[in-house]
Amino acid sequence: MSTPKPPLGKRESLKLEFKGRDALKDLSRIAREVVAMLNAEGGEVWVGLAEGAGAAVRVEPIDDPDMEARRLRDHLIDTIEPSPRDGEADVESVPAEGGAVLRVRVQSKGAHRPYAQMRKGEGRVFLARVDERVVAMGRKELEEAFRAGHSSRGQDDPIAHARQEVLDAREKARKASQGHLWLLIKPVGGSEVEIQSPELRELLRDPAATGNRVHGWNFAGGYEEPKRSRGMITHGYPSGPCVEVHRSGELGFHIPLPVLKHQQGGAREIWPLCLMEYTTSIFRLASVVHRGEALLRREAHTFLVDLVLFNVKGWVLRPYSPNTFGFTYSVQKPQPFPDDEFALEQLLAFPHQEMTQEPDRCAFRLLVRIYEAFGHDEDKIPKEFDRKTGRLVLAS
Amino acid sequence: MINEVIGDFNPWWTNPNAYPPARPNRRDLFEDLYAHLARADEHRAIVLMGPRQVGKTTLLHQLGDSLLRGGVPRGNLTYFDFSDDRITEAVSPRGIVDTVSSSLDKDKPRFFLFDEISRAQRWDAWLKQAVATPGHRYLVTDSAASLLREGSTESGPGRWDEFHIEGLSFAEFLRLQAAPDEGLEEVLGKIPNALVRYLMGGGFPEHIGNDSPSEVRRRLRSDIADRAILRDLARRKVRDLGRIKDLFVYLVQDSGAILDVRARAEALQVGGEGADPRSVLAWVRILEETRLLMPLEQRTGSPAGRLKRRAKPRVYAADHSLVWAFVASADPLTDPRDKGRIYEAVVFRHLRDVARAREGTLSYFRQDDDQEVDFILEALSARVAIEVTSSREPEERKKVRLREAGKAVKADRLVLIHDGFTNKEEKGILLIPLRDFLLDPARVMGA
Repeated sequence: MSTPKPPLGKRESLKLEFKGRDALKDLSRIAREVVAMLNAEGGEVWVGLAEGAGAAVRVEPIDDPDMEARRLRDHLIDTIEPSPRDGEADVESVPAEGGAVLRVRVQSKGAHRPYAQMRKGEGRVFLARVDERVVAMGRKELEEAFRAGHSSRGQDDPIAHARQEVLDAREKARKASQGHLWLLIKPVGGSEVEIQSPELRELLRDPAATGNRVHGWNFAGGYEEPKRSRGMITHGYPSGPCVEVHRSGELGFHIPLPVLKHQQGGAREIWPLCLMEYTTSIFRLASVVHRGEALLRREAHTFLVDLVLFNVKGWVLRPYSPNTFGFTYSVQKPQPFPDDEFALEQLLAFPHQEMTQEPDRCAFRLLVRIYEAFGHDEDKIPKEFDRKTGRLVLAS
Repeated sequence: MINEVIGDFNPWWTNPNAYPPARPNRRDLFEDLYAHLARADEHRAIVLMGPRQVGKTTLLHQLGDSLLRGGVPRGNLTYFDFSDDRITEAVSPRGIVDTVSSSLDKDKPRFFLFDEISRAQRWDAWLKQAVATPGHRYLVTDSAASLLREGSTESGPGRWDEFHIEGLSFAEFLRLQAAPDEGLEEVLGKIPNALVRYLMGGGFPEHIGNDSPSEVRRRLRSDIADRAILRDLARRKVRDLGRIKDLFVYLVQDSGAILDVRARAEALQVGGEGADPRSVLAWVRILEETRLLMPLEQRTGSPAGRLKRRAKPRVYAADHSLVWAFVASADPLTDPRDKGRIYEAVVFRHLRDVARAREGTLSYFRQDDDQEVDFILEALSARVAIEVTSSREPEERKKVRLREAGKAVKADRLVLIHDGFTNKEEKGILLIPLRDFLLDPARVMGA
């Protein structure tokens, strides 16, 4: 396959859009174009090509294009509903004069229409592309799109089905809730895990087997015996962290909020490193379980992830790493969470490769949502989450 | 100047809202000490001995806090730390006692809590006389080395009661992190990998909550090697500190091994010459007095079953965290030999509590190089043989050997502590996971 070239000199059209490098400072500007193309006939959005009089006039090379591509990909998955998948919005870096630019290839699949852009404070915004412009979809267009999408999806859309199951599980957890973090990773596509295997027990006992710290804040522990019951294996404490691995490959995790505290923190303060490490450890477990080695009989193609903080009203999450001055001497007083619970507005979706190869990055995307809920931007997530490598690295 | 320091140490003399800086969670020893202190008519002092960093000062603060809250007049409680950096010349304890608060109630007993007493001038001679003063109660602390070497063994009997404090037990480690009304099981749930954290540094309260094992190790090495050994022993004018430190590191790295004085003497070379074995023996004694090392005597298989005092003692790190801190491997729990040493050291530390509480003895058994038991606990007319293994599931061979050795020492009970989950009686041996043993060693030994 030949390497694509930036379409310098070409004009914007129904299927072509150019954005300058600055668009990366506000990714929603790019997501807007992608949603509009998904609801129309697809196309390409180029980022890093300055536009003049409707044409691409100049290359604006992007620093660290791979990282920016990943960031944009995550943003699109997180803020477009339903999440683009199966090549619906592929982001790639393309060599250009002086460096590289990004290309988003959008393929419109009628079955999933209409797509919406999730916007803070505005909810879902439905957009479509008409010529080179983006317009809000009218009521009639929306009704048609929903009708068409529903009839072609039918009742057997596995992702829609899995999403409903996750929401049902969330409801069940809500009824039993006493103030805890609840996390669910649900494989889609019929995976099956050998829950009786000694390897799985070892994963639950030995934190190092999933790349976690032996003394760290994680689900694993060598001094508790994993228990098997009705199609799943559980490991943990009723009063502490507890993980469930189901035969279906689903992973559930819950942990009381007080366990996320630290003696150096306040009485109702979630300790950032606790939150990060517990969360990441579950993704690492999912990664190993679903890598298709000894444990797996059938592989999933996608994973849906849900998270709820139940009874979190009044809890705080301070920005930055506890190992920095910014944490201790933050000018801004952390605001107690105002609502009874925080739940993801939209489930996160991860392709199989991402979940199994880059579990920490998947966890990071979830953490971005949690920090956002507490009023913090992504850069306030502790530096122990190395943005370059995408790995959580804590003191050994 | 000294009056200002005394005033600074005792703000409650002038401020009715001031209390010693006491943490809420207490060590097990607290109740005993408080009960002893409360016996105001007794003419005996309390000497609390223990290595650095195990919480002696914290205990004093907690006792002071409880005394004030229990109704002791504010002027009747005096706390003083003789190791305070502001003190530039030797201070007499008598001078501290003679400094009287204006809020003193002369009709009520006075309580004196003196930290690091060996820094005071002629402390032992003074204490010997001071205990006779009616209405005065004294509790003094120091690291054991100073006390044992300078005074208490000569002057102590009849004048004061000795209390020994060690690193935290596992239950204490959990309780120190418990919220009010929280049980041990609940605390176990909230501390991630609680036992691993305890093994890596949990014996020393200061390191609880430190999330970086490498930092804990570095600090322990610095606190113990540089302060407890080099600085404290230098103050006692002990010579050959470099070689004592080397010896200490070796013994901790090989914790639980039989002491081979000759081999050690040869290894401790300076200028091409080994050390004198008698010196090595003397250095081991000094290190034992610091309470950083603990000897374990050998028991013979003779019908009399006597201890072979000083014959071939095993020498253990007093706290398992020291093994973790001083061994070479980056992650000691992944090295089977280091893991075994850590497990034995932590079991020994908890057995000492049981033996002390029951006025029993501890030893190890070894005969003909093939029969061996890690620990023999003799207390309350019962003899328990205890073997420790860091294997997940105890091997059959180990069980057979324990039965044979148990027969040789006429053990009433056999206990095999292991790293797995099995908790049951099996053909005369109680198989018990390490964690379960540590949570309640007295019950396991007495069941």
